[in-house]
Amino acid sequence: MLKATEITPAHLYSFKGGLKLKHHKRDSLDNGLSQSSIPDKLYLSLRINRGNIANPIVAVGDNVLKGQVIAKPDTTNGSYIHASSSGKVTAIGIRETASPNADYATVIEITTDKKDQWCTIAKTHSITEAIKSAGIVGMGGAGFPTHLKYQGNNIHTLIINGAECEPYISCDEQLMLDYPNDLIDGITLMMKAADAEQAIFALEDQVGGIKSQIDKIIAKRKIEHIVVVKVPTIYPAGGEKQLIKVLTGLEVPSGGLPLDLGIIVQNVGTAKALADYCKHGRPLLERIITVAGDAIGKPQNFSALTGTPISHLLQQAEFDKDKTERLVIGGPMMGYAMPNCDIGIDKTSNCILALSHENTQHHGDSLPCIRCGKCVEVCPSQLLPQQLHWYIKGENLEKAREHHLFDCIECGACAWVCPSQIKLVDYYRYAKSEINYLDYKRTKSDAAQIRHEQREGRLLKIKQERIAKRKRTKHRSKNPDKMKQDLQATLDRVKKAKEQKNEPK
Amino acid sequence: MHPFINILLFSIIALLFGLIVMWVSKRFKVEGNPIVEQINAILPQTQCGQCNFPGCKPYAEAIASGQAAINQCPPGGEDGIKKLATLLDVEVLELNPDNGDVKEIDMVVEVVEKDCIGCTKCIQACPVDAIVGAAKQMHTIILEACTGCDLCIPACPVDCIISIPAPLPNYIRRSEKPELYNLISEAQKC
Repeated sequence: MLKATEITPAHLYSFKGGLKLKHHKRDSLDNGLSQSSIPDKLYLSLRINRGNIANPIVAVGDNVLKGQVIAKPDTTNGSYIHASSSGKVTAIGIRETASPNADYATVIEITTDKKDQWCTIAKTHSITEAIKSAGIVGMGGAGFPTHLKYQGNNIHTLIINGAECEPYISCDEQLMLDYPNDLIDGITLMMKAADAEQAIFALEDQVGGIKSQIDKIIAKRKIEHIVVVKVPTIYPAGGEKQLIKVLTGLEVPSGGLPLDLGIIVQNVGTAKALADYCKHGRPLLERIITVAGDAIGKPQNFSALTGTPISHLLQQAEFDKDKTERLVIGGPMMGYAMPNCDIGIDKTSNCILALSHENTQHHGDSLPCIRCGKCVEVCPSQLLPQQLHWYIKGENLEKAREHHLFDCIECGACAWVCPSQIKLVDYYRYAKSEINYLDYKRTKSDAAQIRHEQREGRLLKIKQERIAKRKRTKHRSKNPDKMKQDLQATLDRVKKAKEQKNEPK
Repeated sequence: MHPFINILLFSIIALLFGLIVMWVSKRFKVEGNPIVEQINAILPQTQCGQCNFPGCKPYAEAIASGQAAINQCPPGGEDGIKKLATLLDVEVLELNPDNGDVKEIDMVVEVVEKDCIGCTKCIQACPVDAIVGAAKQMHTIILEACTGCDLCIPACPVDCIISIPAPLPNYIRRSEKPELYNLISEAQKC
């Protein structure tokens, strides 16, 4: 096993591909962290990114308190949703959410009373239970339910991901600057929960004094087995699989998870959320979100309640509506365009970007692929983006699957370098969703076939039994002597019974 | 060497090979026509009978024996026809309009429960046992098992079965395919 203490900048590995991008992070960091005010309305989506929809347990008209559970997941791949402020539930319905394609999902609308009144939070007995009841999901962007990561055995290393590699997004850096103590608490809790021997705290080499600050805290509190490592700033070094490769040289197997290597990767925000719950009894109701872009007058980081509408944050950041060409949740590489600004942010929303016309890359339409191969050079998952695009364009989805479409992390590096400006990631997202749908249909039709065959078999059996019965009666009618005997026997029996009945008289 | 020895030797060899062939044909006997299974795997298993055969398997058998064309399955749609054409190495045909139209979205059926009289006629019509109910009791449809074949709709004497869009499990989300222009001139026009 790799020893965390032996990792030095000289011992780092590198992953294939990747891009060097401008950071654009300074502006929002210089303005610091502000507390967002409580909005009039909160829109809490019951689906966090790619997870499953939770079931609402409140009804329209109910009064809710801050921290109260308002929806419970019915499968393991989901998380608890809490009311992020006190108020009244005014609507539960289908709305756009801050997820890919601004997909529709069930959303609970809470009209706040601005009192921010807390409910009492029940105590939990184990850290994994705490993760679950605090509604903690991966806060780096994918929203993977965190409690699932702690069910594995043989975890040896915990990697804390502080390498927010996408331009503009500075929420993680802000968090490390402002809450280093909570962060360390979270990391120690996670190590305990996973029974890990060591933790590697990965930072980008472009961040300033954070490493020395955290090193100081670790030394002061005499915590062992946590090592802070700086990694080169290459997009997407903050991707889970890429970060593991850089730090350990190991590769997550195709279709596998870091758990298969005995590694858990967690975002810094997730660590802080766990510390908040265990130390202060606060479930995950709030996150740090960057509001930036060239249509924003005062780019900054906000500590905002989940469900806060985008418009509310934009207003506080002096947003220029006329200049905005595109509104994006997430970074410029992996973000999703939003159709309007009445969408509530969720636990995974790390950034709101308002970009002007000059700054939106895809102003032109896509042109045909010229197979220049630039996308292959930058793909950090070592896929063949142009070939995948080719198959998906021709609806040859099975071929795309064979070419490991599902290993695509949707980092957007291929689309960034594409000289024809093809929205490659959109193709991959489409193909992934369509393959899942076709698989579902396949299992459904297989089940239908089995049901049909069983029904046919049953009907055939009934028919055969009927034929056999008819044959038996036919056999009897063919033999008149036996029929007569049978008839006589029955008549005798009836007669005898009558006589017996009459006797007592 | 005596010519009889040669004849005898070759006869023995022929007999030996004959025995091997016999053993192989028994040992590796294929039950049924394997192509039927392959065709059946492509068909959508709705068992709707729109192809004029009493189910997907009989239609597959008819295709395999050359009695039916590959374009008689509306639920399979264009994709299904293409797959069949590739499998059988025949030309792709347009869907035969006599067999019905392709539905734009997946549909299933639902019983309007207050109108149901409990006649069990739909239960007998359902090819996949997706309807639950008993005589003079309200019936209901297991939506996950319903294939949307619509065979129960004409069977119902009180018209209480209606077609609804099929519910998808919540882990499935379909996104739209992005557009791409094939020619520079097309892109410039827009």
